Amino acid sequence: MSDSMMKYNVRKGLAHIFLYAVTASLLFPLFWMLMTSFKSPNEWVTYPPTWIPTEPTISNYRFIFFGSAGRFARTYSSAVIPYLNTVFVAVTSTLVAIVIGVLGSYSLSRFKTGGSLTLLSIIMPRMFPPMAMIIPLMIFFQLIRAIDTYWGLIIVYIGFTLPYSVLMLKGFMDGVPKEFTEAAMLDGLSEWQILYKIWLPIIKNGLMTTTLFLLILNWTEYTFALTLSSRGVETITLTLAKLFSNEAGTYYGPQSALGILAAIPTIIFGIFIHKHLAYGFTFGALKR
Amino acid sequence: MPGLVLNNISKRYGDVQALDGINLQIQDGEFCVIVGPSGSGKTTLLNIIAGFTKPDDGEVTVDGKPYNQLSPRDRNIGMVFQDIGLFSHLTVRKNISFGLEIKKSSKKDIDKRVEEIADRLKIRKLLDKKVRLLSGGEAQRVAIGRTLITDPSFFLFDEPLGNLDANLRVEMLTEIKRLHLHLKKTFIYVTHDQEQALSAASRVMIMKDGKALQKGPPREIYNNPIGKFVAEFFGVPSMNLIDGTIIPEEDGSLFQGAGLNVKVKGYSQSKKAEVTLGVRPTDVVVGNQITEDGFGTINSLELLGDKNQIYLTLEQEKSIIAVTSPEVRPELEERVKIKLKENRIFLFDRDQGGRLYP
Amino acid sequence: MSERIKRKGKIPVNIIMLLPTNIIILFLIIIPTILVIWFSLVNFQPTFGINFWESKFVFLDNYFKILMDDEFVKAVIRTVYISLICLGVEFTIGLLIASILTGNIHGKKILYPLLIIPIMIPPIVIGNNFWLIFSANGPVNQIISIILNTEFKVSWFSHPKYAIIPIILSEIWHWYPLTFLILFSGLVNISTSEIRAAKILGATEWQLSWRIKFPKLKGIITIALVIRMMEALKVFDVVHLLTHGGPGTRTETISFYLFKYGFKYSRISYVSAGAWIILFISLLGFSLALRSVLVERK
Repeated sequence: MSDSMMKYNVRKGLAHIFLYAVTASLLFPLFWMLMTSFKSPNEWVTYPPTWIPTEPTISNYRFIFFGSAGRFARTYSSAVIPYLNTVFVAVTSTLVAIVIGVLGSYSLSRFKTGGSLTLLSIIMPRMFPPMAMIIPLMIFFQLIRAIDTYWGLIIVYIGFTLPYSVLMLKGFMDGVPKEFTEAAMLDGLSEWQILYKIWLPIIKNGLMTTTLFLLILNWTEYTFALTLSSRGVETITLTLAKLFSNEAGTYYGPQSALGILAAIPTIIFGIFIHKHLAYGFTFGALKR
Repeated sequence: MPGLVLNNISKRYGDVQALDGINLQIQDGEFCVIVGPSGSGKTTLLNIIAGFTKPDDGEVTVDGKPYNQLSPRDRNIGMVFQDIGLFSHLTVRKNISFGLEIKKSSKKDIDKRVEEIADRLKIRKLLDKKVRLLSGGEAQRVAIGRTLITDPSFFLFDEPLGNLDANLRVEMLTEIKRLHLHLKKTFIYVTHDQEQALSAASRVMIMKDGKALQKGPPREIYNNPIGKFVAEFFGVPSMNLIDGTIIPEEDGSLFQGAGLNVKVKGYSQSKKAEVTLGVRPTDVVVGNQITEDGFGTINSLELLGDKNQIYLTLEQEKSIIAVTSPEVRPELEERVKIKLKENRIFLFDRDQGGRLYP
Repeated sequence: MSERIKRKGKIPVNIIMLLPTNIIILFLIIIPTILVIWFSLVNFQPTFGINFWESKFVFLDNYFKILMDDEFVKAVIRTVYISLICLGVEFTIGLLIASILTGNIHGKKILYPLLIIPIMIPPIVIGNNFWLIFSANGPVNQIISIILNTEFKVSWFSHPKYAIIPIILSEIWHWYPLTFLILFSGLVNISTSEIRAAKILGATEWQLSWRIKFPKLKGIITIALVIRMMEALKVFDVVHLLTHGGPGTRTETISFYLFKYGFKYSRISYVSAGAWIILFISLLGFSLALRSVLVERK
């Protein structure tokens, strides 16, 4: 074997080992969570720690769906409704934010409306620590009676993911070659048609990626859900927090179980579109 | 002493046998063109020569040295890609100088060489331009310039003219031919376009479905195709192929098909057989000569100035093309006599396609 | 070079399209922002009996007060420090995995989706998980005990020096898929011909990385850094869950500080001023970064 060929093989072998070692440590927390979700209460916190449950059970998952009796039942009955709430809120706000974002980014990318100042003003809100916005938003929401409503939360989610929506989509739109637009204009298509028929198919990957990103942000959002809603619109993140609070004691099993369940939809969506992710995450900064 | 030898190269991808026992010997300084339809395996073969793919079987040898285990960077080759592949983040100058910058040559040497190459390829004024502003033809020249700087021992071209306009293609091919004459190095050129092959090559290898069908100088392949596919592939317009039957006679055979009756001297068979007759358009004579082989109806005419291209329909709806001198001007729908030039007929096996005669 | 929009007597199309964005941003963001400005300039403190309409105008008093607060300044420095560490480690991990996964590795197809999962998990879940993992009787301590061959039973979350580590680690674990995805798609989308051309010209793997791959990824790396930094500075969830800013104030981040004084102590004006200071600093930093990206794009 030539020298360079041998070095290449050794390097490949080391890379394999390294990759598996790193992957193992990266997957470890996930593994732990999965295991805990199947542990019975006596194995939640043991010394030495239990790696694999000796009596695996699905009681934690049952707890999630059907709740419990007793003192805790006052605040926690079942996670099913919060789960559905989260689905509704996250999906709706993501879809609307994408649609509005597409329109806005098209305007910015193709026509450069308002210049870079407009772009900056759209992104700027995202730099603001949400904490600081809470009080004013709460007051504002009290005034327009939006506290603890579905549409209130959805509007907030839309508002706060819109900057990312516009920023990311604009990046992709900037990568659309001029020739397509010119040809379409010669064919007499209107601006809306050009957007719908030409640009959107071209940035399909980026669109999928942005949607996933927004979905993740909305699905896992905690701060606004905590402050702007309570019993009426309880999302999964609140339920998780409840299980963690002192009131509940330490329900580690159900927490992990709910954690797994909470992670699943975004993971499924991610796997569903993972082919698009490969191109999508370049934000249009690389020409194909 | 052959410069490059491919010895029984085979490569399989899943169910598909991309290359099946390819043997080829290329002499030093030859312009060898590998032609074939898409999917014939020619790009795979080129990638194996370049070192990007390893063959399942067989060996690549250069000047007696085995190349199989060498990585591309140790093979001292220049390669021009179909999609050009210029470094889009660098200027033209930096693209060309890349090969020497890798070797950490001195700035003076690099600049000198870059300018030499730029002059030779007439791209001096492009040197400080950004790559994405180049036209197709300009980009291809830069790509060629990029390969020259390391002074490789041979050059690989992967369909270099594919992305260019028709008129540019002729110009670039001439450039490449001139370059070959100047450098006197081996060129291995892959294309699906048989016109490029015919005009530039000193030696051609035709591939189909992973196999090498015929090798040799282009003229020879044109005049002596080994089978139906090769015969049809080479030549514009392509060879007319007419299915029919061969009937043994006392002094040879008679071919009957599509209403033609063609005497084939020197071909004897013991019994009747189904064959395909091949005749090039230039060897089909249209007119009112004394003896005819058959009749045809004029479908359309193309008057191309220095020749006429006549489309005829024979019996059984068979269409053929004849290429004649400009004076031959039949009328549309006219029924004319056709004769096939005697020593210019081919007979091919109907199923296998192999050549039966001459 | 914007396109000219033909006015047909109606509002031009591009304005219409941008309108929803602007309206939402305006109402949802600008109005609360104005409120925040107002708060920061008065002494609004509802629990002290001073309600909204009675608060006096105190100009920049709140700003000075908060800048003088040691706790605040420390929180800012700490947050920046955490963010930078997270960014650095995430980029290293992301780059390493992305580079290796672009080669021929067995099991690539399974590893790829698995490695992306952490970013999709709600931070609360991550918090809960890391709480278990780093608890005194948890697996981390167990593993360290085995390696050091002595008993190691540190109480991570109440340790003044070490408490910040689980927080940083959970953030890194949560966000590394972002850099990995960005770098991976960047690498994968570099044209094969360019890479092959470089190899044929004699480039080693190292030269290939430095001269071809990294220069091409500069644009997206910048965007990734900006996005990630924006989020990193706002870290709150895990802090709230794991350490509650403690022990004492040793793991307070900016967001937690604002939460503490805004919600627990209702010092709204004070907090609003703090928020504006943060925004100002962020704006400065990011304008510079984004400007280089915006320019480079066309």
